Amino acid sequence: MSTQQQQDIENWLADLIGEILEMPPQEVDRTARFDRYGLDSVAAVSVSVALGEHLGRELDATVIYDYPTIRKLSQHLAETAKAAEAAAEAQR
Amino acid sequence: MSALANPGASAQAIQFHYDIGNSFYNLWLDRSLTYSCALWDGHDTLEAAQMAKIDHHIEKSGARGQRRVLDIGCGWGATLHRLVQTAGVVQATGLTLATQQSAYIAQQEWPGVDVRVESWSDHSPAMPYDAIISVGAFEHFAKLDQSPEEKIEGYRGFFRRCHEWLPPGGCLSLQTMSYENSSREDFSPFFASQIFPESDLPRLSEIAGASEHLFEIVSLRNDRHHYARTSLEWRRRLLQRRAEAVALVGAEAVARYDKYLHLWAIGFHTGTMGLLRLQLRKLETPRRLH
Repeated sequence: MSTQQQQDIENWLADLIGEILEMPPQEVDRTARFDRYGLDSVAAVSVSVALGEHLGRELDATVIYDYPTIRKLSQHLAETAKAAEAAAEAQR
Repeated sequence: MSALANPGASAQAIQFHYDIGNSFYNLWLDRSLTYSCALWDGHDTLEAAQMAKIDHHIEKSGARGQRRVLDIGCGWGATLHRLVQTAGVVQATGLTLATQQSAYIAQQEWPGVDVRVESWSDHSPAMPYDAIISVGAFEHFAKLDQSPEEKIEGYRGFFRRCHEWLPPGGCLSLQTMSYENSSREDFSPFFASQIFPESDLPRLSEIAGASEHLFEIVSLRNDRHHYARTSLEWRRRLLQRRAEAVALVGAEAVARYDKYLHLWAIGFHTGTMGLLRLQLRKLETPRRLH
């Protein structure tokens, strides 16, 4: 099941990957592994930092290897968003 | 015993990384200033996991209650302090090539602790040691531009020295990063030029080969996931103190450390690199290698 939040993250990631690879975002396969696009560890760091800033939460680049496609990563981040918000709130 | 040529990183290369400033490291390492992979078994704070790592090496080296213990690559002295404070060791000697680390340890005036700015290859103790610990230093005992034979020979020189310094049955507890699902060709130019110059990682097979007929490997753990967690914890602490860090060492250096810690976490998480903890016991009558 795809939530609106998951869709938003997917679209944002497809835009970013499209920008990095210089291809239209609609042509980015959301079920392909990131390494198939040639994204190396340096790119994974950049993507995780940019995504973390976009979502307003701290992300470790290792999450990209645990959820290695746009779809899986978006689903995971949407599912964990509430817990992350609660943790951020508790830190304030 | 005459000094050997140091086969690994020069004092200048070590100081490039480790002498960036004690106050900077103090911002993001744990209170004991331990700058190597922690041991997270059952622990959830960096402080506790670092002490568990130190205690692991104290046990594996057989240092508890001994008179003389050597720590090769002693950092800011957390292990030396633990040895004399809680492990009943009379004399703990540390070797480092970083002058700020040595100055920090000397300043603590820990009774029974002695630190020297010296490579293992120049070290010539008046008396042997009962146990030896080396954590996070072996990564600096070889250089990328050495041939495979030179690299092994350098490592073998290290094991030969440890063998000479230990009593029959004495142990060396060694912790080092390693190449796992990667090789020398994968060593990132960013790390080679901007983080750890004049350094190279070992493969497990190189350690086994270089220590053969000198030591037997008693136990071995690959705790790479422990280093992914340690790196991410260090990065989290660095980012929390970013403004103070920038004031101390500048924005460029902080960005460099942020990037390196993040990349490290990936390397250990994915298995590009390993984190080896080895207990090596001295062979009493080593046969000659042919």
